[in-house]
Amino acid sequence: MLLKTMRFGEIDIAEEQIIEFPWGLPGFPEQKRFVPLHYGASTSLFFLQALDSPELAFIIADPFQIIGNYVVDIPQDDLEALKILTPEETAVYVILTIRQGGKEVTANLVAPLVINTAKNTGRQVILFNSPYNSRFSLNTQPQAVAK
Amino acid sequence: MLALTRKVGQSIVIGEGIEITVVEVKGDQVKIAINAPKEIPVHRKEIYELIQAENREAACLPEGIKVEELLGLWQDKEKV
Repeated sequence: MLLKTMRFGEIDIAEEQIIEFPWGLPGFPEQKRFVPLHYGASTSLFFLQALDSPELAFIIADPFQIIGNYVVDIPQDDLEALKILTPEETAVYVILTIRQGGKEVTANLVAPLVINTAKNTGRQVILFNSPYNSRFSLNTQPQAVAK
Repeated sequence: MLALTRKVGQSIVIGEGIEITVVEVKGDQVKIAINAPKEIPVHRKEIYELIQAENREAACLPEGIKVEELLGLWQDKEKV
């Protein structure tokens, strides 16, 4: 099927690439289907393109590339809602925000996107009692180079 | 908006699957228990609003910025 995007034009995608967010995302409750798109050579950075809004895309990243020892303690209710049974069928991403016209990039480590890769469903989870915040700077933190 | 008066131990039922119970009242703090289907996300409002605001900001990918530049930044980080 054809995916319309503002940034990349039309892209041919397979049904299986679509990730369903049954509850949308906070701030975007109507957006329930997204497609992660690889961009460039990076294997840990994606565009999360909204299927039904060509203009809406997020940049998401593998949080373990940002902080090697990132701890994500997913609340039990979220695991059950996503019907996640094993870590193997779980993928975790964080949303990046470009600030100051590109001078600063921050990662929302407190509200990761958790995806059931077996069922291709996801939700943005809000971590309780998390040591992280929603604006972890990738510019100034030495941990940002963890790899 | 509907306003209901409840005592400790009393509940409010919303639709079929949601029950909200007043557990404890201490000064100006109220502890409430929420029983809802797992698939319904329940959050403290201020935290939810923060995440909403962060998402809206993240969705504003600056026009003039070339994504390649961001990626360059990212790959530098991966390399260092």
